[in-house]
Amino acid sequence: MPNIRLPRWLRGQAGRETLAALALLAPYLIIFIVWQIYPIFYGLWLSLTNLDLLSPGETQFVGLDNYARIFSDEFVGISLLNTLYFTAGSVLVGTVLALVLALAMNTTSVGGRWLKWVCFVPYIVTTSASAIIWQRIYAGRYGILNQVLNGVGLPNIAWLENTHTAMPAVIVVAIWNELGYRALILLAGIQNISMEVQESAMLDGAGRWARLRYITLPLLRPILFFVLTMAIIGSFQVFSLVLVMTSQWGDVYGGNPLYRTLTIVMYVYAQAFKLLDMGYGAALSWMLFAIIMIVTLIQMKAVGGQE
Amino acid sequence: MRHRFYRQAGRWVIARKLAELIRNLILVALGILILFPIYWMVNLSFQTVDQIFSLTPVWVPLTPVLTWYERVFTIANFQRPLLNSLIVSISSTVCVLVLNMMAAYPLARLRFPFRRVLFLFIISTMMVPQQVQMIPRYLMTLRLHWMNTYHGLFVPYLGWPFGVFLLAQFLQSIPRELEDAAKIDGANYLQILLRVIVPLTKGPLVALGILEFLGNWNTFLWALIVISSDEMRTVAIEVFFLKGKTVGSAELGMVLVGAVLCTLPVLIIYLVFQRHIVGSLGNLRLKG
Repeated sequence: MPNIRLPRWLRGQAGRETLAALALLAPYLIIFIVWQIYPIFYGLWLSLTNLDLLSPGETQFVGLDNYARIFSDEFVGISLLNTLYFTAGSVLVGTVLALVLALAMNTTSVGGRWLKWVCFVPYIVTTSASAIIWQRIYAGRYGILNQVLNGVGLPNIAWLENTHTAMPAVIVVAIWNELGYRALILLAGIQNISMEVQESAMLDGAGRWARLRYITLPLLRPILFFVLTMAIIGSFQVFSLVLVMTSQWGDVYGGNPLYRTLTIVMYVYAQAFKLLDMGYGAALSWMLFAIIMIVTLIQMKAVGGQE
Repeated sequence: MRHRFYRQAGRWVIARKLAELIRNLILVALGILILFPIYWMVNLSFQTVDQIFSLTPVWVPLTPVLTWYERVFTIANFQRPLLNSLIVSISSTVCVLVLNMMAAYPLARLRFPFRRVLFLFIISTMMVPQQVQMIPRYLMTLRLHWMNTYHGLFVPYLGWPFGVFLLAQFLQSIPRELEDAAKIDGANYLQILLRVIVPLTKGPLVALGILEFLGNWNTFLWALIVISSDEMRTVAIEVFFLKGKTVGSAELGMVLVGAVLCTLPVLIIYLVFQRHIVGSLGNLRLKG
C-alpha cells in the first residue's frame, strides 16, 4: 500500500475519510444503482420496443409506436379519467376532512387522546384486508350498510355494482384509509404554530373562526402542500384497494362495473402482466410518470407559491 | 377570583363543562366509527354462514364460532402465507436498517467529493413512481431466477431512499464533538459508526424498522407480480386469492379470517410501538 501513489483526492486525512465513506456507501449504492437507477433506463428502452413475453425472441425496436398507441387506446382515456376522479375525491375531500379531524384532535382531552390513537389504525391495516371487509360492508342485501339504511327506511343500493356509486364507494374507503395519517401530520403542523402568535391574535380580539382563517391556515400552507403532494402522487398509483374490492375472476382489465373503477396502474398491470405486452406496459408507466409530474407541478403553482 | 372564573367568555361554568363533555363524546364516537370496519371484520369472522348472510345484522356474536379459524388453517393452509410474510418482512427490515445506516452516515457526516450531489440525486429518485421500474424489475427478477423466492420479494426494494433520507436528516443534528472525541481516541470510521453513531440513532432506527416491516407486510403489487406459486404467497395477496377461490361459495368466512389474521400482527406492532411510529410521521411512506 505505501508504495502506490494514490490520486490526490484519496491522499491524507481527507483521503482516508473519502475511502471510509465509499466503503460504507458501497453496499447500498450498488443495490441502489442496480435496482433503482438501472430499471428506469431499462424501462425507457423497453417502452421503445415491442417486447412481448409470449414471443421474446422477436423483440424489435419500434421507436415511439407504443406512445402513439397510447393516444388511440380508449382504455387509456377511461383509466385516466377514473384515476383523476379517484384522486380528486380522495385528495380533496380526504384532506379537508383530515384538516377538520386535526383541528378536532388539537386537544388534550380524553376524546382527543383516544382519537389520536385510533385514527392511524386504518392506515396500517393491510389494504387488501380492508378492501375485503369494506366489500362486505357495501354488499347488497347482506351488507351492513344497506341493512342500516333499510332500518331507517332507505332503499338498498348495490354500491359496488352500480356504475354511479362504485367509484365513490371506493373513494370513501381510500379516504378512511388515509384520514388518520394526514390528520396526524396536519396536527403536528398546527401544534407547531407558535402559541405566541395565537395568543396575540386572541388579545387582538380575534375569534376562533378568524384565528383559523387568518393565522392557522396560512401558516399551515407548507404542511398542507406536503400532504397534498404526497396524497396526489399516492392516489395516482392506487392499485390493490380497487383491484381487491372490485375485480371479478375472469376480468382481463378489471374495474368492475363497466370499467368504471379501472385505474391507470390496473391497466398498466393488465397490459404488462396479463397480456404480457411489456413494451406497451413500459410506455404506459412512463405516461403515468409524466402525468404525475405535471399534476404535481400544477399543484405546486396552485398551493405552494409564496412563503 | 371566582367572579372572573364565572364570567370568563361570558358563559356559566356548567354550560362549559357540558360543552366539553359533549365534545369528548363526539370525539369518542368518531373514533368508534373509524374503528368500526375493523370491529366488523373481527365480528364476522366469528359468525356462522347463516349469521353472516342474515338479513338482520348480528352486532355481537353471542355464540362465537371458531369453524372459520379452524378451516383457514386446515383447508386453506393459511399458516404458509403467514410464515412467508414474516420471513420476508423481517429479512427486509434487517437489511434495510443495516444498509441505510451504513449509507446515511457518510452522506450526512463524512466529507468526500460530490457528497451533496450524490445525496440530492439519491433522494430525488423518490419522485419516480414505482410503476416505472416495476416492469424492468420483473424482467430482471425473471432472468436471475428469483421468481417465487423470498429474496425476489424484497431485494429489489432495498434501494428505496426513504430510509437514507430519514436517517441522514436525524444524523445531521448530532454534535460534531462526539465524533471528534472518538477520532482523538484513535477510532476509525467504522468504529465511530458502530460505537458512537448507532447507539444515538436508536429512535429513528426503530421507527424505520417498523415502517419497513409494515411496508413489506402490506406490499401487494410486487408480490402479485413475483409470486405465482401457491406456497410462496404472502399474506397480503393470499387474502385476495382466497376471496377469488371462495366467491359464491359458503366458505366466505375463511376470507374474513384471513383478513383478520393479516391485520393482527400489524395491530399488535402498532399497539406496542405506537409512539415511535407516530413520531416520525412527517416522512412516512408505506408501499401498497
